[in-house]
Amino acid sequence: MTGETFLSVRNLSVGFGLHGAIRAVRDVSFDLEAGKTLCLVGESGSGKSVTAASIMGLHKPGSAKVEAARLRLDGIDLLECQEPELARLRGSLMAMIFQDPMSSLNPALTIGFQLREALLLHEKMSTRAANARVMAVLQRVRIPDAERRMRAYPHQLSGGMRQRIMIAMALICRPRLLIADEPTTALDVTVQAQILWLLSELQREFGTAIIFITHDLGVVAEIADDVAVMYAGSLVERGSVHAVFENPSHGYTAGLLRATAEFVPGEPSRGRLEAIPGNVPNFSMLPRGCSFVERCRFAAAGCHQRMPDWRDVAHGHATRCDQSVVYGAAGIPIEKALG
Amino acid sequence: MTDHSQIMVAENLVRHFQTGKGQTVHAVNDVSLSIAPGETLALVGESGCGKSTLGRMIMGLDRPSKGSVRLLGQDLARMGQRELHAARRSVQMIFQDPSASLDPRWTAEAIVREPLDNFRIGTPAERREHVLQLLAKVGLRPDQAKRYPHELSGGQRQRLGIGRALATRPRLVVADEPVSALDVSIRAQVINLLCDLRDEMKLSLLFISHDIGVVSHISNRIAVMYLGRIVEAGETAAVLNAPQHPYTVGLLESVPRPRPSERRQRAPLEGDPPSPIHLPSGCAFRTRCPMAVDVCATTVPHLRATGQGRFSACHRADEMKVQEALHV
Repeated sequence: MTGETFLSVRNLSVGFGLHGAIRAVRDVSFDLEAGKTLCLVGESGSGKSVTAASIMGLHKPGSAKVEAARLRLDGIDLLECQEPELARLRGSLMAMIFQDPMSSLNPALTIGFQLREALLLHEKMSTRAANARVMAVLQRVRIPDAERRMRAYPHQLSGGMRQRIMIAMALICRPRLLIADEPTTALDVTVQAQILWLLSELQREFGTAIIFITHDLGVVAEIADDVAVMYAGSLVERGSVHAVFENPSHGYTAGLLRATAEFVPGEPSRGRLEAIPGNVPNFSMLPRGCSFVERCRFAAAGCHQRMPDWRDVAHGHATRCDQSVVYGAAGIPIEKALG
Repeated sequence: MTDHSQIMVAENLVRHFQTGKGQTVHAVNDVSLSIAPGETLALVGESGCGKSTLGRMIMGLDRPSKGSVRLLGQDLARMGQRELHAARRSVQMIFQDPSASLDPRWTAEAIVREPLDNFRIGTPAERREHVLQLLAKVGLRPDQAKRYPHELSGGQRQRLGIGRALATRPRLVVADEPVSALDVSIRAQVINLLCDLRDEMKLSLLFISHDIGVVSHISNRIAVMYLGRIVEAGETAAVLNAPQHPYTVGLLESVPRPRPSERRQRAPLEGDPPSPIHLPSGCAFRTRCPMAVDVCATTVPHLRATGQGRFSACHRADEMKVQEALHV
């Protein structure tokens, strides 16, 4: 490293349709340090996955219009890379895992074959050496009876086991960046806990940087170093996980934290949840000004006029909200926080 | 137990399915539960634990292999077609995926009206009036009455599903993961709506969910299921604050909480639930249980009272109570 940030994204915008008219991602900027975890949080359709696919260069040429001032990973300018170069980087420098492992694995090929394929694509080695590496990585992701599982087909494994296979496949060439797109959403909570635990173990061991995409604030609190909150295609707040959760400074972040049903041992139930009124706006009918303005309880006249600029709340914690969000952290009753 | 004060009483329900290969899937094993008027009972567990099958048997949508379901004092198995039809007026269901459970060719109005027509409730004019009231009650605007499901958002569709379920003024509503498919900001709206309507209409609710956070908000009582059996039951706050079954403990520890300063320090529960085709001997949870001892492999632990209206199906439930006392 030459002092440069490991991953740096500046002013990323992605448009679909004619002339990129449907702008699914607008002006997104963030950094990620090597070996750290950034959680990209937002609801369905907020642009999280589109952002990730842009970093990986996964948009089909012609289908999406990707623009950015900068998109640099580990000293490489991804905007300058042509497809063959990107194909070489995918898997070796950066890898991705998805929500549904069943649709990412080939049902007609054995687990062993698919893992070996990922390895042989990037490294020259004999089949026997590759098999040994596959065995080792399967054991590392705690697949019991790894030798037998190598001959198994995806449908013969449980959901949790399939997601472990995907993690093994993503990590087999030791990428420095792993993008995990809702990898635990389809899993049961006890299995989700295992996968999150495994990911952070592997991260400590290999020093992999992780972009973790999720809508679940509980998962974010569990694994993130940094958080970036997305709403309707824009980033609205970013900062360390402690800063964002303990001092949410955008109406949307605060609203999300309050709307999350949480069980706190020893505390009585909060009774009514505080819902965010209304619905996520349609991309073709975004309000002028801040895109959250119509659902925000802190909205002022100025919010309808223009999208607020970034404002620093504290060192490394910034929000795109001009209002002072006096919500307080989750867990404090609203009356108390407001009074 | 012939307690007529209960809305629904299920006794020793068993449901087995046969696979094509002649194997038996033990979906529900010897489950008994009851719901009092106005009570919300949450059925909690992971996928494949049998909670939806149990819900379907209580609705009379599926027949138990053994055991009985009594709705408002009447045994479902002894009812003829006509009686069953009449009984369905008092139990209704809300499904997880509103886009799959609403007819795409029907307008919102027609969807809510169908149950009224089915049960011949009111005159046609009264029905029209009632439909508009119902739509307003679940927070849909009058101009949305003519919309088709695909013209509504996910949250609005689920509101419509709730409106349809409440049209016949049921006594019991079975809600099977009603908010799991919704985004967080919408989820809170729908939970609040469900709670308000429950209180207003004095409904009993069987709330099937895997989400402990949601359940802690909505339910009075909770029953935790694992591989077809209820492993623990009791008043919601009591169970969640001081669980008396190691599976409940593991489940609670697995739930990620939105508090970065209180991260989990311990390794989570290991392994996957075993297949409901090849159940382990004795306690079905023993293969993952950190507390398992010899007796767990030989004897099936039955759900037994542990005092203060609580039940646990663990051989070592008493020791867990001791642990609980030491913690406090």
